[in-house]
Amino acid sequence: MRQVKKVASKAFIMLLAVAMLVTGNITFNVFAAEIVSVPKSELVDSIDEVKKLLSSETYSSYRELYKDKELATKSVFIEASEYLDDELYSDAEVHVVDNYKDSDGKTLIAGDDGKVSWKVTVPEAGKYSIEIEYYTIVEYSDNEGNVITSKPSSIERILLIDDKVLFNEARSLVFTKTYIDRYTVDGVEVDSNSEAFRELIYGDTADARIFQKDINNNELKPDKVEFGEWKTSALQDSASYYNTPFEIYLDEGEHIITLDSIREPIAIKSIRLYPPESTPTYQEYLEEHKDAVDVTGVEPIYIQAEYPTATSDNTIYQLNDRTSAITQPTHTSLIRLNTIGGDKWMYSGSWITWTVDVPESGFYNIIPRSKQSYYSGVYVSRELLIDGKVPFSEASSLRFTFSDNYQTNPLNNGTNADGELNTFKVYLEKGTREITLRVVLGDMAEVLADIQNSLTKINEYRRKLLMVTGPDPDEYRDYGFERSMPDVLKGLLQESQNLYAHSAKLEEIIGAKGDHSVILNKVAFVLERMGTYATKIASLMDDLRDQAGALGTWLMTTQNQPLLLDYICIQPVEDKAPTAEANFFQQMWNEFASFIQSFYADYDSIGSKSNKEVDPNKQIEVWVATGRDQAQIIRNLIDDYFTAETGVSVNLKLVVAGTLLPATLAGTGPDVALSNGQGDAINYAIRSAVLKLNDYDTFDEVITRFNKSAIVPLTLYGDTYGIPENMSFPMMFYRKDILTELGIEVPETWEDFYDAIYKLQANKLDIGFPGGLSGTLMLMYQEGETLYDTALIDDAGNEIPKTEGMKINLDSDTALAKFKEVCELYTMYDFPVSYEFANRFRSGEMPLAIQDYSAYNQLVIFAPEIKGMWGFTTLPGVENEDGTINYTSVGGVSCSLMMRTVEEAKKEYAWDFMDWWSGSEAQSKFGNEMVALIGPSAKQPTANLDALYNMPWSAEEYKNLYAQFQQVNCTPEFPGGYIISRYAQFAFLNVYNKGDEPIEAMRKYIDDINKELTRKRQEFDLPVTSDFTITD
Amino acid sequence: MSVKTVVQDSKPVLRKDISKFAWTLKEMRKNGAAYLMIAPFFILFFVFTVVPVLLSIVISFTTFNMLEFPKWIFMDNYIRLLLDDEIFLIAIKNTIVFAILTGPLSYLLSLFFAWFINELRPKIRAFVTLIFYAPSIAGNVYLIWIILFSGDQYGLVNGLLMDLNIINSPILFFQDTRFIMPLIIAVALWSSLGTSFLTFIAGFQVVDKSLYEAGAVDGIKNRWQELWFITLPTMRPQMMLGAILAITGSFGFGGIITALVGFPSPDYVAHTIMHHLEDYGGMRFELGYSSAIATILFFMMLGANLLVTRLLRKVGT
Repeated sequence: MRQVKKVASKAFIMLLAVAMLVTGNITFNVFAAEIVSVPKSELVDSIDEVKKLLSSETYSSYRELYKDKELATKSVFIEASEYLDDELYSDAEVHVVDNYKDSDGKTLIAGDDGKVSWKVTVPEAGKYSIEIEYYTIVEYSDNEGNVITSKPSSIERILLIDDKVLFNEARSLVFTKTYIDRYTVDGVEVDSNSEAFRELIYGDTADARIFQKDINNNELKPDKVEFGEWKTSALQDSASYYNTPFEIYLDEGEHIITLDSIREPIAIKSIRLYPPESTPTYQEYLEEHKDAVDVTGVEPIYIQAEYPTATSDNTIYQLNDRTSAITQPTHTSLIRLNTIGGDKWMYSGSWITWTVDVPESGFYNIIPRSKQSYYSGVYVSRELLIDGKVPFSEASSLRFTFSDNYQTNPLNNGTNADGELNTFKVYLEKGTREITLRVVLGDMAEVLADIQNSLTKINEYRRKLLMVTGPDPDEYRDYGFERSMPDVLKGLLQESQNLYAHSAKLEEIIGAKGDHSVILNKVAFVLERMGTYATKIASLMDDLRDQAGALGTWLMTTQNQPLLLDYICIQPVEDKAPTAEANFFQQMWNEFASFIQSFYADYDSIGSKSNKEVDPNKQIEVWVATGRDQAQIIRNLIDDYFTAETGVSVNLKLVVAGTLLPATLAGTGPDVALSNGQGDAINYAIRSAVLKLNDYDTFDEVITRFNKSAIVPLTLYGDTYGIPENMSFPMMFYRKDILTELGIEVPETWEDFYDAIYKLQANKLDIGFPGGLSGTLMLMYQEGETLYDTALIDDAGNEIPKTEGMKINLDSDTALAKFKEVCELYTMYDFPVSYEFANRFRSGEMPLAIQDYSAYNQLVIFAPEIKGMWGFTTLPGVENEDGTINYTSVGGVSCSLMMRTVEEAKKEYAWDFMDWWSGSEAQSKFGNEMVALIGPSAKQPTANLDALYNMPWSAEEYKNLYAQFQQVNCTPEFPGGYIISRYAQFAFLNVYNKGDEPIEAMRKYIDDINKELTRKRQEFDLPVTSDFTITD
Repeated sequence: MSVKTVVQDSKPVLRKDISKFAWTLKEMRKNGAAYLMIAPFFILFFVFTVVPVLLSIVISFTTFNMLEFPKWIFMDNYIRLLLDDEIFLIAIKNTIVFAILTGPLSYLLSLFFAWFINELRPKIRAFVTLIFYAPSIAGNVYLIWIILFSGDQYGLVNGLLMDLNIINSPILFFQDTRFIMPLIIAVALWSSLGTSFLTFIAGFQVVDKSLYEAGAVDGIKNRWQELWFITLPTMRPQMMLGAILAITGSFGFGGIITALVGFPSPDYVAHTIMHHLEDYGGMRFELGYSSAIATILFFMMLGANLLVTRLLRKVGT
């Protein structure tokens, strides 16, 4: 308990620090009652700022431009601590620390918001590469209360030279962190980068498994721990389109180098500009080591891939693979973590490192037992690094071809003209060596980069055409494109030719036709027709949208490079490679055995780590109705923290949604139910199925973790029945590139919003807006109007208890006016009612939309091609009297409930569990684990403010999210409330479909709504309108 | 006394020495094996079908919110349902309109398609049967109607109509009260060639060919007469099954409507008794009231079944 508090208070301090950063105001208090309004200018970049970032070319054209320039010959060293201490150049929070993490000299620590610049004097003109030395973890605090702590997410920066982004790729520079595994062997913690760990996996006990096991004897993943170390990293394309570090041309003289933050704080020691180095080719490499011999007579060394020393992401972890009988080790029914990688290890730049003791210096064959069964017909690429260096240039594009089975080929880069593998042997020095495999795009990189550039141009042309034709072009009309935009037609033809060329080149590299040729040629064909026959453009627009979308999806999947590894064998060159796959009989026996096992094995139980005796009086039952992954994470968190701290054990059950009610009725329900809907709390409460929570001693402390309004829907007449888990609300999504192009600032008020509508619609672009009740509520709450009538006041001026929610407030003047306003957006302004947000946002047809902020998750995964070109921010609002903006959003929550089936003696335990689960520690851990397990699309919209901060948001995202979080309202829940959205929707549809007058349409249903509210209230003996004589 | 006479009249065995109950027991013991064999089905049927039906009739006289113990209120639910619930009247209207339009129509469609297909050669027949039957085995295949009639401007029908300049802005087909009912009926007919259709095909196969020859001798003039006087009367059991399936199908079509237009349908235009039941049972937790609705639906179906049985007896006369 004490530890929880400690962590909570630590988190609180951190939050305060951020709050100060956000507002620049030290007196600001997170939990203060007053509403905080952050001006938009602090939240979003202005048009000029965006322009600076966007108006840049691609690296390939940059390189083309400077291809005649000489490489530099001298290098320049810059101490990071000597930054330009001037608000104009460095506006991030910056601290200089002596001897940071046992290093000599000074280190510069910069926060995750804003930029830092350095002045550099370049001795001679030429092309330079740049590398920075940084520490992977930032932990900073000083006596002035400044705290900077990093989160488990890669560092991301924008590089500006002399206040300019030189090329697109410089907009996202990623510096990876280092994660190690922490095992617990016989009660002792062993880190995967320690000597002890190597002793365990290579020593006498090498065959023993060191993974912990659950009570069912399944192996459990070790903990992933962020590891702090000094690293030197060259600035390079984070998408791996270009395999070598950037070569940046600098004139002689003074320059300013700026790193602008996207994500995560950074601790930098130095920056070095140096002449670009070239890696030797394989021939040169052999020449260089011509004295070395091929090692013979040495036992092959097997590195089990599931024992990596370190990884670049916490999402890369050990997996259980049962597809092959000879995977080491394998079991027909139990979980054996025998492989690593797969689709968890497929994004450019992520790497895994293994450590091995080499017995003799000389050449070896490195033979991974690998499988790429994810994408048929193509190969995936890896880059080999020995002790952090690429030994020869071919090692940057090692190929692993598609196969349904495991393969054991020596490292190679494909087949030569005779159909034989081009294998490479590798020189290894005697001693401890680190072998790293890094995800790269290999030989395809440059072509893919070109295709990406083509696609960007195509989308740009398409948008230009769209602004003339609108989303629904009239194919019988002659738009006269030849006269109005001849350059676009020329561009279309040019891109068509480019795509044909790319297609041919890809075919040459891959060696076969495939999906890629079809998709590329189709787009090229459409473009060719559009460019040649301008009158066909209108009829081909839809086709182009679909084809370009398909191309984007293809490009995205092709960049994924999944590879599953079982082991890496290092053996003498002359030896035969190990057997790749089990023979027929082995495989059949394996299948047969697992089939038989399937009758016995319990695949469903969520296994606990501890096998201690459970005291039934100190055990509570918790139900969760989400997915299996979530349940397993919750299980682990409970074991590691809740049970460990309180001694209360938890029986966690994964149930099907909808079982809760019948089970409670039958008296077999749980003590605590997780992830229930917003309406459930009150619905169950008025039927006395859940218990009131106000009386527990820590209740008041617990509810301060959330936005004030989060418990509103869970509270009825002062009694709270649920604790919020998730909370999400609409925010405004916008496309930076399009708004900038059209000269539209992100709207701050509704007046601005209407201006934006005018400008966007003049260019035939759509706007997304929540229709019906949700849109109306948003506008109503911004005017301070509530959904229900507030409590009645008696003659003495006191509120009459339990009279709130007797009548609906949708018939007030403001409410009706707002409803009309929303309806008119659809009837007069022609907003689309039904649309696929992600698709239209991605294609640019809908550059501005008000959408639940969890749509972020979808866009991150679904639309990587617009990465960095969109953002989300607070809603447009109305101006308060003091000039601040009220941009209230109306949110929804999910909650945990304490069911009436809980035994009297266990109530305290159940409450402790709910307290713990809603706490920042559990919620942060859960959120980060979800992201680690499922990927960046699994960000939880947690209701806990501290936990939200701890999630891997970028500084800009968090700033906006936090600003909106300050102004969220939730509608209360009263008996009969379900009827409101129904009738409001009816009214809205009547207006939209039949052209009814909005106010009349809504009024028609007010009586019906009130009648239902009254009826429901009577059922539960609550006061109703007719109990009071209203004297207005 | 009168009961006794009936027993005397209808039963071939009459034992004056033992009571009727004892006699029944004795008979049961004699046919023990047969009872044992139907026992598994009977027990399941009784526990999971008969008991719930009876229970729901009992619950319909109470208020029951699913979480607290029911309170006895006798006829209040029915009084409110029949006299004070406008939406229930809409639901009854919709259900009847829907049942009358889709029930008989889909029944006749099934029958005639089955008849036509029966005329084909066996191999082609198997193939065509599969094609017609496929929509109903493929589960949620009716969802393609959502794609066809999507309210998005990129929905297939909307896109087509806008291309032809018939409309200017997309129509929310499944949200517009003018289009919902016709569309739903079309979907219902489209997906109705299900089990009853298969039964009919089977029925056509079992007709004894010699009957047709006898009919020809007796003066059947054309295929219509053959169908009416020979084929249909012979396959009365299959037609009975088909009819029952069609009735329960058209009364209980709620699920597909919900999937297509959402719940509840705009302005209750496609609100059927099933929906009303779901509304009160699922959303408002008023199980007593929804049991009353269920009871009424049950008797409506029963009535419809009796009516159809009676009509079917007229076949071939």
